Amino acid sequence: MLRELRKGTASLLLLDLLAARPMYGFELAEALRERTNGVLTFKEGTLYPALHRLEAEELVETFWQDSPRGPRRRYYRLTARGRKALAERREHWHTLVEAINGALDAGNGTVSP
Amino acid sequence: MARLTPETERFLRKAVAGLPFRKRGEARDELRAHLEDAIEQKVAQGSERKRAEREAVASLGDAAELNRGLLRAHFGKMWVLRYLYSKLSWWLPELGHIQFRPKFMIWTHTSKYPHQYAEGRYDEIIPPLGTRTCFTRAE
Repeated sequence: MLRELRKGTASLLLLDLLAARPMYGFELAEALRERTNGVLTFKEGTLYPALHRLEAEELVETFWQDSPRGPRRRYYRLTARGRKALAERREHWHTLVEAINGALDAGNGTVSP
Repeated sequence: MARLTPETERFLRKAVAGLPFRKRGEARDELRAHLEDAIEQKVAQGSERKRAEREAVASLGDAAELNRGLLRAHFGKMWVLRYLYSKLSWWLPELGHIQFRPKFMIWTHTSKYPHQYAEGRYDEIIPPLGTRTCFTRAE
């Protein structure tokens, strides 16, 4: 369950980051670190499989662009299908968070000895 | 394009092994660009280049794990077959180092010139045309 949740979270975060503008892998990892003040980071070894999976699902598409400084980079951008998936996943995420919060609040933090 | 150490190149080859030919090149270039960016960032922060490269590679994790992740992303449930294929492709170049030539040459000569061999008249044995190149690895 936790693993599935994590996997789903990674793709949701990637889609959300890409909603603003096309980005390349290293930039995505840095953007997430900055956005969450270093609380959430992509373990880089999992970043690329997640991006390639999104590409295989046709939620993102890629293009190569030369960089004035540094190597040629592979950018990812959202497809129309990706935007739709992002909206759906955002909604699912909020529903899930509300449900979990509701369940935790109902327990009032009591732990049986 | 910055020059990376042979260890890093080996890491990149392992990470993308088993992917379809075109995807393999793209994935390798993408990972290489990531490493170059990470190295540049670490060097800018004051790290020594070789150390920065080691740390950048380490941050990508284990090459085999990364390879499995990429294969899963591209082949879904069939990834295991591609993984086995990629494992084999890592070993095949190593097999090239085995020298078949001596055994093959002896077998050819003893079968074609049994008397000369038995009597030690080696100067009469002429290597048949083409046998030299059959199993000899190109240098």
